[in-house]
Parts: sequence; structure tokens; C-alpha cells
Amino acid sequence: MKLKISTFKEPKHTAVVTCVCWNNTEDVFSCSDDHKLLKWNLINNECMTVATFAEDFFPTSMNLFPKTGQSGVKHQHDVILISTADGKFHIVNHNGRIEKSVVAHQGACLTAQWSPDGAGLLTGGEDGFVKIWSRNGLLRSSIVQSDVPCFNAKWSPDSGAILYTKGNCLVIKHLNSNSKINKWKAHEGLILCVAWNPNHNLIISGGEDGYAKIWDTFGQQVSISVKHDQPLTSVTWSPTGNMFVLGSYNLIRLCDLNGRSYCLDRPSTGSIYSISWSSDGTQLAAACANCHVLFAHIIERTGGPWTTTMHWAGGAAEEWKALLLNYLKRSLIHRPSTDPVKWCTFLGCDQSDQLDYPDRVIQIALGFNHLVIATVKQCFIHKLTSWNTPVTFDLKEGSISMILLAERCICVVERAGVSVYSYMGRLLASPRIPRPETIGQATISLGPDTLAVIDHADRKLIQVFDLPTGLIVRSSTDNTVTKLTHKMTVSCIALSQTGPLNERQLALLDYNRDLYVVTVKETKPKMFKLGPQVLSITWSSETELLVGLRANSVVAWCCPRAATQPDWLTLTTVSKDISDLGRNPSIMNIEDGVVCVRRGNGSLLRISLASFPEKLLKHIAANMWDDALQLCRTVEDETLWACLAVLAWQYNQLPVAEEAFALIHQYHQVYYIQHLRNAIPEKLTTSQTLNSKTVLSN
Amino acid sequence: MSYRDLRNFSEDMRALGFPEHISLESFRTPNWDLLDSCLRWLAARLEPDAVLAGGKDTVEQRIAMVMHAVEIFHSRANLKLNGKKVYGADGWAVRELLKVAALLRTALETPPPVDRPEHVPLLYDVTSRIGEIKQARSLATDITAQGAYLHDLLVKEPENKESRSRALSRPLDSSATEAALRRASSAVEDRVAATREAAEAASGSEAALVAKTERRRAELQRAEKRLRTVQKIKPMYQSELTALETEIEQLWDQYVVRYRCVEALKHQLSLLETAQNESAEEQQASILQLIHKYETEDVLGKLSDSDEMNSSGDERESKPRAASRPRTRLRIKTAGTTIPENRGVWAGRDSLDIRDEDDSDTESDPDVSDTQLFGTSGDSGRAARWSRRPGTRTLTHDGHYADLGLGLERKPAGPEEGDSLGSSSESELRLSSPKLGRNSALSDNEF
Repeated sequence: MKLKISTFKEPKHTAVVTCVCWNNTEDVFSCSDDHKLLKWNLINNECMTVATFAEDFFPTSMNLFPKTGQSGVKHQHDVILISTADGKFHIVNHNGRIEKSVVAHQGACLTAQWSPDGAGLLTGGEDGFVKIWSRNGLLRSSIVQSDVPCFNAKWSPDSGAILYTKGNCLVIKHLNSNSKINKWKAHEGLILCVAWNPNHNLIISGGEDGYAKIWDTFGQQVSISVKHDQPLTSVTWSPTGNMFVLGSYNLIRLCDLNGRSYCLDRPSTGSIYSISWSSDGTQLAAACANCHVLFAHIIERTGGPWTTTMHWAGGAAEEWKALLLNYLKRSLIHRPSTDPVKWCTFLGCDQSDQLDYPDRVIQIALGFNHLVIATVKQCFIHKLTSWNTPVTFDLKEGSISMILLAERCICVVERAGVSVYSYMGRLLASPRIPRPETIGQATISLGPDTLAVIDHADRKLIQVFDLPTGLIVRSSTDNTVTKLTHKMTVSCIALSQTGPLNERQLALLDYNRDLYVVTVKETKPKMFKLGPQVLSITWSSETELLVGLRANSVVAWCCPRAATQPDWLTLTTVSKDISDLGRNPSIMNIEDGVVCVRRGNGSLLRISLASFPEKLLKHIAANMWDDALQLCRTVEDETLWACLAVLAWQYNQLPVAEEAFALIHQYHQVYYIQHLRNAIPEKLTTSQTLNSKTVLSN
Repeated sequence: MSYRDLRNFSEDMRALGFPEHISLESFRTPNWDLLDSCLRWLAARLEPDAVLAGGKDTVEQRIAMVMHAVEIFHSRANLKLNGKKVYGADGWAVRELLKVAALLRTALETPPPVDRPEHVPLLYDVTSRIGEIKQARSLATDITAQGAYLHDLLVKEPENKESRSRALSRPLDSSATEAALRRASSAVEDRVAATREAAEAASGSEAALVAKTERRRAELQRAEKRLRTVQKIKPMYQSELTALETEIEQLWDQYVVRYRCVEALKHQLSLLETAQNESAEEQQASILQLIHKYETEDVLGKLSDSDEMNSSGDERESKPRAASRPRTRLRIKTAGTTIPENRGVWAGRDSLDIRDEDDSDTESDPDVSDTQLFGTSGDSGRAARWSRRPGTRTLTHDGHYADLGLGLERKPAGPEEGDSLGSSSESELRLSSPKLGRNSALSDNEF
């Protein structure tokens, strides 16, 4: 993954550019010490002067009104907030007219930001105040008073707290209560820039000591960058949060979520005072001290975060399992947008193919025998057997942040909303989810017929949408929403990928890193705890095998539904110790019981964990009990027998269950089954068996 | 504003390569340590040899240092810094230092002049400069002279002013002025009228010229039209001419063909002649061979016919005459040959022999003309020939003369003709007759 940097030959500004903002995927606003507000169009390489302000107008920061998906008052949205060095902040509309100027601070007003919900704004100044203002510029409160200048301040993603710098400390102050102040010393030098990502609530800070550090909201350090020679003047998360950019003197660096550096560029730009990502996360603009505005595109995405957004499906032909997608994106600056984008190369099987698209490719996802490509305007669904005839549908807005794949449907997360399409390109559903831009990889999960999302406002609540599949005509009333409430904040969810709708299971990790499993469609959903201290979870895409990652081991729960009985659960759990996982490891995918883990240093690790159990699960899913028995007899493994016993018990295969229970020394269960088989004649229907079984177990 | 100044200052110093790091907080409180190093560093950038006096420890040292620094910046960079503010070592001092730093930064970023490469030393053309100096000197003297002149004039000004005011105050003679004006106006009117007339005349002549040109143009057009019509008309004799031309051409072609044919035939004829000449020579050679042969035979025959040998001298003269008598009518043609008598005798005898041999040849050859020619004398000649043969044996070398005689046959020898008539007529006749016969035979063969 690299940055392809381009600038205009001649600087359009005549003084230091201090702030830059993306308007949409094509337009960039920049403001500089020459009192000009410029608008750059990247499609036709134009630069237009929007406004020229007064002589004493020296901007320090700029922020565009957040584009929420809600249909609010339209004219309110097109406003820019600019703070200036004379202590004022200005609200400017897109035509360059100053709607309002408010004197906010003594000395310079160093930072200003709209709250993410658009209800207010905050300013931080050289006088040490951090103030919150209403949208119209009326002072609500002075949150902070200190004698140290506040160089940067940011809203929390839920607008309920603010993060500000105080010398070499970072402070999170919650707005609703006056007790919670979380303050920690973050750097050795002055902290100049901070960023807070809504998707995973991680904070990044850059200081004059040349370090960039990633923190969680409690002040625990997640990661630290290498030392840079010069102070870091800007840091920004990408919209999806899987990358961030550092700007320093003559330096721009792209890093991944864990702080691992993807690429480093040394353009001779002077200090980079501000960096802004486009909403699709493929382009960024930077304000440079040498009067330039620098544009960069992310090219050559291979692996890396793509594989985190990529679902690798088992059950497909071997040759595309070994694919490595090599993603080359052409720069938009140098080539008009009508040029095709060539991006796809398949390695590992001596087969290479190149697909051309009319626009920039923003997201790709591979899995379930399909390859889904999202460009700026359209979405292409390629079937792996026929590359050349993709199904195409138009996107609502050109800022797609995520594509999720399941067996029968695709979920596309855009800034305007979440939509679910079939593989034929038909819109199946568009569930109403507020603030889709805050949806991260962990907070949404797509099953073959369900979509689960952690509620944005109340993170204890999980909404599960039933998706109409097959030939049902979509309508808004069809979407039956199931709401599951957990006792704690949920941080990660995952839906099982197989089985019928009634047996859909949801695995969730709460804030304490406890793993719970719940069957969604039960009338009284009950959370069963599978284990503590789980870092990452994934369902196998072909079976109901759940794999979790702990700090020093990887665990596979072969029958998560056996959680009702703890002894069965321990019997059906396979665990393997691994060391050196590093910081923040994650499970990429599971293929035939082989788990692919991305370690903290970015390397991929493949562990053969549960190949036989997964084979067994496949047999049972296909209702091939004889084969399952044969497999267990051949392998002679107690875990495998336990799995067979539990599953046979659940599927009412009493003879099989009897044998299996006997082999795992569950003799009381054997007696019980024998009793059942004696008591109930064979000719009775299975429903009666089930009823009697439940009665007896009760 | 101090934030922005400090930010820009920090950026400039970073770009200039200042070794220390200037934090954005560094000058919030007076910071003499950093100010000292900044001042010294900036002064060293402007004047490499400068070492700032004073230091940062005591008030006097600081004052000395600030004063020295301000002086250096003023003298070297033409920058006026406020020493009082610099002394403060806070945000205001940063603003002062920013002037220096920005100057250095712009110098750093200014591209080097393109037109003058740096490594080429500057060349002053001193001689031209000397000329300039002279010019400047003369200009200076001029200026002083002009100034003196101006001064003189200004000195005269009060007097002039008096006279001027007097002149101005003098009342004007209105009638005289009016008359003068009237005169002037009338003169102007006259001039205007004259000019107008001239213009009218010019316009008249112009019209005439225009009409003339029109007429000429019309004539030209007419002439052109006529030319075109004349060109269009096809004369009556044209077809005749063309017919004749074609005929001439045909005739020419015919002529050429025929000429070529004739030439070709001539060429072939010449070829044939040469071929016949060659064959004649061959025949001659064979005849000579035969003569040799016969001579040898004669030698043998002499041994047998000794009586004939005795009378050979007389008979040599008489016998051929008798034999050649019937052919006297042909003598006319061969008269006038230059062959001398003696030789002619020899040659006549020889040629007779040759004729005889020809005759003998013609017996085998079906030569009609020969037999016709010599048919009358054939019997007697034959008998005589065979009898005379021994007489010719010594004349082998005289065959050349006979040949010569043949070659010289046509040579005119007018004056000698009469002398040789009586004596050599017969021999000549004899000489020429076979030649004629041969010619006729040749001509018969030829055609």
C-alpha cells in the first residue's frame, strides 16, 4: 500500500496553507494565511477562489459541517467553521460569505470543530479555554479553563465527551457529568494534534517529541510509532479507521490501525499542518507550509486491511482460495476519470486477470464465489466463474465505506445508509441505521438472511434485521427487527453463516472481552457465556464453527449451541497455544479448520486447529450420519466424539448419540437414551420425541 | 498573534536548518537561552565572521548582545529590529526575529538567476565604462553650466517681471487689432477659396480621368471579346491542312520504310559483292595453281615436242593474234590502257592463256555467255591453245602484270593511247575481252 502524491505545479496559495477539508469525494477546501478560501476540484484539476477574507484573517483550523445521513435543514449543512489567529471563529457558507463571526478567545483560536451530530461546536484557544457553542454561535459553556494553550480538541464520536490537549497531557472530559475527567501524560513534548476515530474509539496523538501514539479512551497506550526527527503537526484517521496518516516537516506517513507503517514519503513541502481524508478513504489532501496543497491517493492495496474487509469463503475451488488480490489504483489527478482503473491481479495460480472499471475502485470484497467491487458511482458483482459479465448497480452516494458478503446477499455500508443487495444486484432491504459512518468492521455483521448492528446510541443494544430473501417483495414493513440487549457495552458481533434462520446464532464480545453466544430467533434470547478474555472472533463461513483468539491461544468452539450444558461445552472445545501474537491480533478467516491469524506485527499465521471437527460439521450439515460416524471411528478423538454426541442429541439421532456418549464416558446420558428408546416406540414422530425429550430433561 | 508568529518562525528556522528544535511553547515565557542561540545563529547566517558581543547572563551582556545583533541586522540586511522587543525574549522578540528568518527563508527559496550562470566570473568592460565616465563628467559640467544659466535668468526675472507687467497692463488698440484680424481672416478666406477651387479642379480632372479609364476599359473588354471570337473561329482550310498533314505523315512513314528497305538492300548487296570478290580471288588462286601445274606439264611436254620449241619465238606472236581476231569489236571499250607494249605482249599472251583456261573451265562450268562468245573460235582456239601451251611456261611472274592490268584497266592514259594503238591494240583486246566476259558472267551470276 502506497501513497501516490501529486501537487499542482504552481502553488495557488501565496502563503502558508493551514487547513484543508474535503467537501465530497471530488472537492477540497483549503484556507491559508493569504486570507483566501480555495476550492479544488480534483476531477478537472481546477482551483477556484471561493472567497478572499479581510487582511487580519489568519485561519488556524477549518471544519466542514458533518454530513449526517438524516435529512435536516439543507442550508444549515453547507457551512464551514474556520478559527482564526485573532481569537475568532467564523461560520462561512460554501459561497464564501461569512455568516457569523464570534470572538471566542484571547490570543489565537487554535482549533474549532463541529460536533459529530451537528448540534454544536467546540473551540480551543491559546488562552487555555475550551468552549462549547451552539450551532448559531452562542456560548453554551466554557468547559475548560487553564493557563496552558489548548492546541487541539476533538469531540468524541458520540458527542458526549471532548478530548483536548493540555501541554503534554491528553484529557477526556465528559460533558454530562462533572466527575469524569480522564487525564494522562501522553508525550514528552507538546501535543500538537489528536484524532479520534468513531469506528473503534481509538485516539491518536502526535507531539513535538516526534512520536505518534494510539490510545484507547481510558488512556491506555495501544501503540507507539517510531520517533520522527521533527514534531508531528497533523494526524488523521481514515474514515473507516483502519489507517491513519501522520504529517510532519517534509514527511507524510501512512500507518495501519496498529501503528505499523505502510509507507513513508518525504515531499519537500515544509510542515504539513493539516491532513484530511476523503469520505471514501482512498484520497487525502494535506495543507503544506510551502503554500501547496498536496493530494495523495492510496494505491497498490494488497492484503493489509483489504483482507480484513475481505471474506474468504471456503467451499470454493482451490485456485481462488490462493488468490492474492493486488490492487492498483490509478491516480485521479493525472488521468481523467473516464480512464479505466486496472486493479486486479491474481497470483499463486499462474493466472492473472485484469479488470477495468470506469471509475476509481474504492472497496473490494471477495467471498462466497463472488467478487464485489465498489467504485465511486457503481458496484460491480463478478461471479468467479464468469468474470466478464458483472452485475452492476448504482450506489446512492459515492462514499462507500464497507462491503460485507454473505451466502445470499451483500451489505453495502455507505455514508447515506446501509443497503442489502442480492447477488443479482436487486435491493433487498435498506434498514434504517442512524449514523452509518460510525459503523465499523466490528459493529456490523451479515448473515445469510440477517444483518446485525450494534446500536449507535446505546451500545448495549444489538439490532438484528431479518432480510427478505428469495422472491419476497421488499417493503419497509417486512423488516422485522429483533433487539437484543446485553448487560454491558458490546464491542464486537458476529453472525453465524450457515443453518436455517431459526437457528441463527450471534456471537458477541462485550467490553470485558467476554464471549457470549445467543440464538437470535428464540422467544427469550438468552446469552450463554462461552469464555472470557477473547480478543477476536470469527464464524466459519461453511459450518457453525466459532473460532476465538485469546492472548496466548486460539480456541475453536465446535458446537456453540452446547453452551447450555457447560460440561458439553468444554468437551467440544478445541484449543491450541500460540505465542508471540503481538499487539491487537485478529482472525482473518477459517478454511477447513485452518485458522488464519494476523499478528500484531502484520504477519499472517496459519494454524490447523479444527480440521476434523469442521469436516464432521459438514457431514452433519449434509445429514450424512454414517459418514460422520465413520470419521469419528477413524480418528478416535474424544473431542470429535463429543461433538458428534452433542449434535446427534440435538438432531435426535439417538443411536448415533448413544454410541458417541458411550465413547466419551457419559454413561448417564447413555442410560437416558436407552430409556428413551425403550419408552418411545420407533414409529413415533420426531416431534413427539422432541417433546418427550424436553419434558424429560426438564 | 504570537502563536502564528512562533509557528512561522519555527517553520522558517527548521527550513533554514537551525539545529535545535523550537517548540511552540518556547517563547511563552521569556526564554533567553533559546533567544541567545537564535540570535547568534541568525547573525552568523547573515555575516559569517560576526561574533556577537555580550552574553545571556547579565543585563549588561544581554543589552550589548541585542545592540550588536540589531546593528548587524541593520547593516547587513537592512532590517530594523526593535531592540527593546528583542530584549524581552518573548513572543514580541519572536516577531522581530521572524523578520530576519523570513528574509533568509525567501533568499533560500528564491531560484538562482537563470540568465547568468554562477561559475562564469563577471566581466566588466572597462573601456566602455571609461567612455561613460567621460560622458558623466561632461554631463556634470553641463548641469552646472545650465544651472548657472538658469540662475542668471532667474536673477533677471525681477526686471523682466516689471516689463512684463507693464506690457500686460498696457491698453490694447482695439481697432488696429480688429483690422489686423480682419486682414488675417480675409487672407485665410482667400487661401481657403483657392484651395477649394483647386480641389474642384482636381475633382473635375479626376472625373475626366475616371471616364477615360472607363472608356479604355470598355475598349479593352471589346478587344478581348473580339480576340476570343476570333480565336473561336476555325479557318476553312484547317481541315484541309490537317488532311494534308496526315497525308504527309503517311508519306513520310512510307518514305522512311522504303528508305530503310533500300538501305538494307544496299547493305546486302555490298555484302554479296565482298563475298564475290573473295570467291574471285579464290578462283584466281586456283587458276594460278593450275598454271603451275600446266607449267610442270609443259616442262615434261618440252622434252617430247622439241620441234615446237624452236619456232616458239615467232609463233608466240602470231598465234594469239589469229585466235583473238574475231573479237575486235570489243576493243573500243578497252582502248587506252596504259600497259606498255612489251608488257602488253606478255600480258596479252598471258591473258590469252588465262582466257583459255577460262574456256577450259567453262567447258565444265555451264557458262552460257562464254560459250556464246567464244563459240566461233572454239575449235581453232582449242587446237592452238593446246599447242601453244609450252610458250607460256616462263611467264609465271608475268601473271602479276596481268592482274595489274586488270586493276589498272580503267585508268585513263589518254596521251599514250595513240602510241600504243598500233602495236598493242590487239593484245589489249585480248587482255580486255576475257575481262568483259568475266564481268558479264559476274553480272549474270549476280542478278
